[in-house]
Amino acid sequence: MSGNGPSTCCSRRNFLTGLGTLLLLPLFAGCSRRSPLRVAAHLWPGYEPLFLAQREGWLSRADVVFLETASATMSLEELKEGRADAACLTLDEMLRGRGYGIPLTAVTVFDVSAGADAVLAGPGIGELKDLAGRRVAVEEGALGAYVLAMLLQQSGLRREQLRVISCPGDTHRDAWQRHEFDAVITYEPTATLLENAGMHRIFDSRRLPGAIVDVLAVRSNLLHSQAAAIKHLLVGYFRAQSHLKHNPQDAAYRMAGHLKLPAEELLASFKGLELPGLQANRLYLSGKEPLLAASARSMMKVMLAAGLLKVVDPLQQLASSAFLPSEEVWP
Amino acid sequence: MIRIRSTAAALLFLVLAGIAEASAAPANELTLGVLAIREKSGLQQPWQPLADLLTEKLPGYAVRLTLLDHQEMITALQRHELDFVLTNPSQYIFFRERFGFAGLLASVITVAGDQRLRSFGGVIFTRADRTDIKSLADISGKKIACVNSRTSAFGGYQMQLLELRHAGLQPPPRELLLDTGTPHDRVIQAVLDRRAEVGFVRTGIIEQMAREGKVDPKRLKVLNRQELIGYPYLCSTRLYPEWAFIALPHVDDRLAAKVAAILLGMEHGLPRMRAAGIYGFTPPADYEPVERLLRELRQPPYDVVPSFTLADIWTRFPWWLAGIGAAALVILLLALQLLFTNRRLRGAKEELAGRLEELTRSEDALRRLNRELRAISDCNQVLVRAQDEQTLLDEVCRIICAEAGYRMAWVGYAEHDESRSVRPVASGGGGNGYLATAAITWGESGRGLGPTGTAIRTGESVCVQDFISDPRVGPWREDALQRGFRASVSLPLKGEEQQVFGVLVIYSPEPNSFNPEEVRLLEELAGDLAFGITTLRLRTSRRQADADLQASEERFRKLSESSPIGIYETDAAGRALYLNDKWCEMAGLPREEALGTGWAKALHPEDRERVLTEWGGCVERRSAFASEFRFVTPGGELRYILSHGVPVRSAQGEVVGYVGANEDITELRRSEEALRSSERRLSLAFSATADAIWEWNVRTGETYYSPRWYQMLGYDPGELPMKFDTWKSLCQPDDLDVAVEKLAATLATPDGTGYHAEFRMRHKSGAWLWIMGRGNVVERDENGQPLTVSGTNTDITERKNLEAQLHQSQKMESIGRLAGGVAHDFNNMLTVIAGSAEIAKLKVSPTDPVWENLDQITKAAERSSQITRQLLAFSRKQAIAPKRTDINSLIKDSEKNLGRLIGEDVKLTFKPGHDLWPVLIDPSQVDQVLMNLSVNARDAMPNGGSLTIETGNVAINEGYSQQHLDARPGEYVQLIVSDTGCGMDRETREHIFEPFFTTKATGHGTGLGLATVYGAVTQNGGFINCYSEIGRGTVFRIYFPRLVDEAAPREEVPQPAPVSGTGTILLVEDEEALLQMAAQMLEQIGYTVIQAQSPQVAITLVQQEERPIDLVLTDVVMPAMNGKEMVDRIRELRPGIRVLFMSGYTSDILAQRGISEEGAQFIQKPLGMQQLSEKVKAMLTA
Repeated sequence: MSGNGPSTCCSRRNFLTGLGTLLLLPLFAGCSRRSPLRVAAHLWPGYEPLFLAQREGWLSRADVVFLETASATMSLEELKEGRADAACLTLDEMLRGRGYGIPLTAVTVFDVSAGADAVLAGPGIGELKDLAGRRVAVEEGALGAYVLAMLLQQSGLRREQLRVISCPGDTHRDAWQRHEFDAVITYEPTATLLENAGMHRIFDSRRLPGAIVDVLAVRSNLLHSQAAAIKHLLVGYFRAQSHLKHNPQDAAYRMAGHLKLPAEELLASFKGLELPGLQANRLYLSGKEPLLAASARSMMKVMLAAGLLKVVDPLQQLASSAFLPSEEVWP
Repeated sequence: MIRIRSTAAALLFLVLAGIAEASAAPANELTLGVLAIREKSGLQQPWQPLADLLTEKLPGYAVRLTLLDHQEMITALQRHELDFVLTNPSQYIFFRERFGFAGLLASVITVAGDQRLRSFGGVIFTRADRTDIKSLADISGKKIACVNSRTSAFGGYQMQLLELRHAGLQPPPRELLLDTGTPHDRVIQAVLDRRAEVGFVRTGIIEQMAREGKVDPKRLKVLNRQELIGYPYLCSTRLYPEWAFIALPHVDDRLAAKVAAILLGMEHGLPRMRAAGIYGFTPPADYEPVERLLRELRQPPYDVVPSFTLADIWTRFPWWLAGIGAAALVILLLALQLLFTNRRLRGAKEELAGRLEELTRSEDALRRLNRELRAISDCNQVLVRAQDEQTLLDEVCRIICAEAGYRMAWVGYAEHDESRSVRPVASGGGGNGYLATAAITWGESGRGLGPTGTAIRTGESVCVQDFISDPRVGPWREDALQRGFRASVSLPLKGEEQQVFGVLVIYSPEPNSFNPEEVRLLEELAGDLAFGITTLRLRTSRRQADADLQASEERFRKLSESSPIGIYETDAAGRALYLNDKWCEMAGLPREEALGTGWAKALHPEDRERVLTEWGGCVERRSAFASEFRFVTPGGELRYILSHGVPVRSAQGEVVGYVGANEDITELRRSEEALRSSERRLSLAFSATADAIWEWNVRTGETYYSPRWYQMLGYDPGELPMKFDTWKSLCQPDDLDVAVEKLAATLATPDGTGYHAEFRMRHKSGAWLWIMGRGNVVERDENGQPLTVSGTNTDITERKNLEAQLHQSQKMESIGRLAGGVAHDFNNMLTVIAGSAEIAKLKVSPTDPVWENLDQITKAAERSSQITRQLLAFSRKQAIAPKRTDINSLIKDSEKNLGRLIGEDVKLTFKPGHDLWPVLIDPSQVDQVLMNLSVNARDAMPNGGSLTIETGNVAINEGYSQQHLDARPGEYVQLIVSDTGCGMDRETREHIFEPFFTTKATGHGTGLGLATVYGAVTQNGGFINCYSEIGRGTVFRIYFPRLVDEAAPREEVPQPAPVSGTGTILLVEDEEALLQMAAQMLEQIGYTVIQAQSPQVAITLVQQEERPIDLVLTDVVMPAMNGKEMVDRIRELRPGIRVLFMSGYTSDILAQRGISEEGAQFIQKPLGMQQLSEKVKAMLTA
């Protein structure tokens, strides 16, 4: 009897769900005619739950398609050219995008860097002050500039004291092997790879709490028309995030292929990242003065100073928590 | 209740915990229970090192290892025999819920090769050769092996179950599960042994057995394989955290902490731990996914639904329950009331039913009679309404069954065939197929003795009251009873004369159904039916007769109406009684108007009186009528009518009227008219055509010649006899034979076509005309011999002339090419001859006799060279420099020279045309032309005459150019040179332009003069015609194309600058214009010029002039004194003075005339600036 009870209950529930689905079918049919939300993203552990969700079938390709790019800059380019409706970006890239006149609103915070952005140095460099006169490789862009600015601030060094080399993020590993720099401002998973290759950490984003965040930035003008797709995307994302948090081992093996990292190291690369859950996301995105706005303001200062942003962004419509799932999502 | 139970459990736990503490403490022995998933015997050794390690690290404690399967583990836990447990995650959750474990100390890290693993999963597999099992869906209904489906086999059952659930599949039913028990190896063996089709094991088992050589992994196939990059094992499920190391609640916290510290602090990868597959320990993993799995699958410990008591429900939903209770009570009360009411109703109903039955019985008999009456009534209705026999019979049979309630009714007709069969023609009601096999007859034996046959034979109704007992129905009994027939009545159907022609048979389902009353009624019905049939048959035959009559009338009407002839019928007085549609259409009158005497209105007014008279006469004479007349329709259309009528006589021979037919012969009349007009047109065409037409009767020789034929030959029509011989007599005898031959050949061809001949015929004037004759055989006799040949004769004289011209032109062209080629090569050779002779002359003294010979050669070569130059001119190969030229002024310039050329006996007249157009030509060629023509004219007029040169503008039209092949339409400047000489015959005329053709005596003329003219004219795009008649002189007409393009060069291309010089020149020239021109030229070059218009003036000027005179430039031929005489006089005054003569004559001519001196310097007129400057300069600097 105890076995029958639940199964009857379940089948009836299934039936009712099915019935509900049937009743909603016309609505879905209407939805399916709309073009899917095109999301540009590059390889970054913080975004990986999105891809995990897609691989596990938690995201419908009719609602969301991903355009995989090589870097945040390229993702921004996709947005600019109108080939993408949304992009996974660091906050500074999002501000740059807004600076170009693309109306962007953050609908979720994927991760907060807590060590994932780091300054790694080769042998002979023990602390920040030792960088004086050394070759420091930085990826062009706000994030590099921001970390560099923070590094200078905290080390008391002046920029002229460093030999700053511009070097794209995806070439850091090879460039180190060719001894092209003495220290590098980089991020995961490259940071872990470089550590494995003999570099060590002298500064990282743990010393800049809450400053470096990754967000899903959606074109503000599409928020209304693509509301259903965005919500669907976020449900899938939080489901995958929950899976990663509760069953990291399983998730790690399932993400290893895409991130091109062994499962064990992959989990290590997440150590430098906080993945804000649903509640934390609400804090970041909602309210009159969301947390994200504070981070943006701080980032904006550095960007203005570095000439990466020409005008002050009033930060209107910077963030929206309206698309977050209303309750916890389980894997 | 729940609260009470939990309290009790808590108390029990405390008590048991106390006992456990008491039992474990004194021995200082700790027991570590490990879940055995493989053979226990084989596990003791691998796991012992863990117990040993703990013993080592825990001073004062001895750790004992015990290996337990799931059930043993539960028992041991219940008995509190264990202090620590190492078990799989689901068991951990199970024990945690069931026994309230306090401490999860660590999670295991396993090792695969050199890879550390913190998680494991489940594998779903089948044999590799099972091609029918490819996915999870294929597992349904298959036998599944697992270690234990009833206990917490996490990696060996539960994980797989969740995957099935996520794939939308039901958990496998108990009977399809094969529990092999631990170790997992047994599951793999079961699948390989085919005891099961699918197996569930935890990850790593297959690989381990493969390493141990116990299984060939190729024989297995993993389903739902997961893509886990870097995970070393095949896996079909999600991964879950590895086993948990747990401290039981009774274990002291400090001890638990120590054990945790030992485990976590244990060096990773200790070799002695390897055998157990342990690499090390890690802080406790998150087992929430495991818990969620168990909850979702409702696996232990989440397999029990919490129990509720009524009190719980009451406490939870008191108001709801009160409401439901009250509603139930109300429903119950209402139901009771309904029950009582129902019972009362049922009683009343039963009473009513009793009364009803009584009534029914008494009404039954009445009803049956009524039904029969109604049936009869309905049948009578049908009898009245029915239109055909079959419907009547079908309806009656149907009504008898439907209304009177009989099982079956049928009607049969008595056939008068050999077997006297009864042919069923209609039936109603049931009895399917009864009649098909009944084979009833009305014969006097066998089946004819049955009730139906008897009824037909006797004419009396026959009743069968019960089919079971009646002996007469023996052959049909079984069939009838099967179909539910119990009684029947056979009723004869009688015709007008009481003869029986059929039978109506009715069957009842009940025996003894037909009482006498009913039979009487049914006999009445049969009588009515027979009457109805007879009546219908009568009606049908009458209708048929009517229809035949109508059809006949219709046929006549259609015949009459569709007739292409107008048909009429009149009475004896001739008044129209009937007119068909065609008649009315012909007359254009509506029938009602035409009937009576109205038909006469249609007659043409011109014919009316005549026709009425004729018709009246016929009527009076009672004779036939025939006439042709015209109808005029109201629309004005005219119709020619041929009418015939004959009298119609009564039986007594009296004429009662006329019938007749009018035939419309309008088309015929029109055709005749068209034929006549066609003949007229043909005749007109004959007279209008340019071709003459003839038609020859081959047999009689009579030949028709059209008026044009006569006209063509200059005769009046009919002036010559219309005979074949007429043609023959006019035909040129040379051509006649060929023409007759061709005609004969045409007659001989099968189709008689294609006669074509060209021949000459003599015009009345005597001239010969070229005629082209064509013709075909147009009629043959019955043997196919030609009777009539018809054809045309065309005057082609003009065409023939053109052909001759073309021939001439082509001849000139080819002679020109030949002459040109010869002249060119010959000229080259002459150069060699002349040159060689000159050189040879230099090598011998002029006194040498050879010198004379050489000189002869030189001269001959010079003359030959002249001839070749003329030939080149003829062949249009001489170098020319055409420029815009005014022919009038050219002729004026040459007039004097020409006058000298032709001598005094011939009078030269020049008639220049006004406003003559310019032409593009080399002026020297015009001179050449004039010169040659003049010479020829002079030679034609040995006794003097006149030579006239005329010019004029002329436009050549298309017509002219068609007659003269050389001429192209356009505007020309015409140059006419005519003489009054002896003239030429045609033969000569045809050859005059040919080189070396001459009529002059040998040695006079080269025969190249006119050829040169021809070449010069044609080279400049012009053409030349010659008209000449013996004794009437000759006219040459030369046409040069008008120069329209004003942009054409007026002068020759720029020439080299004249050679300048200084000095004084005495210029003597009698022509003032020339004097002026030459003076200007010399001044231009830089000389000082003293002009003198005559020799006398020149001599005077020399006498008066003090200035030195460097050169005398003088004309040679001048009036009064020639140039030489003048020079002689001047030299007397100024000896040694240099003199240059200038003349239009060649120096040879001057020499011949004795006006030239030895070694005199000479320059040919007309003067060119360049030539003059060079010559003067050369003389002055010599």
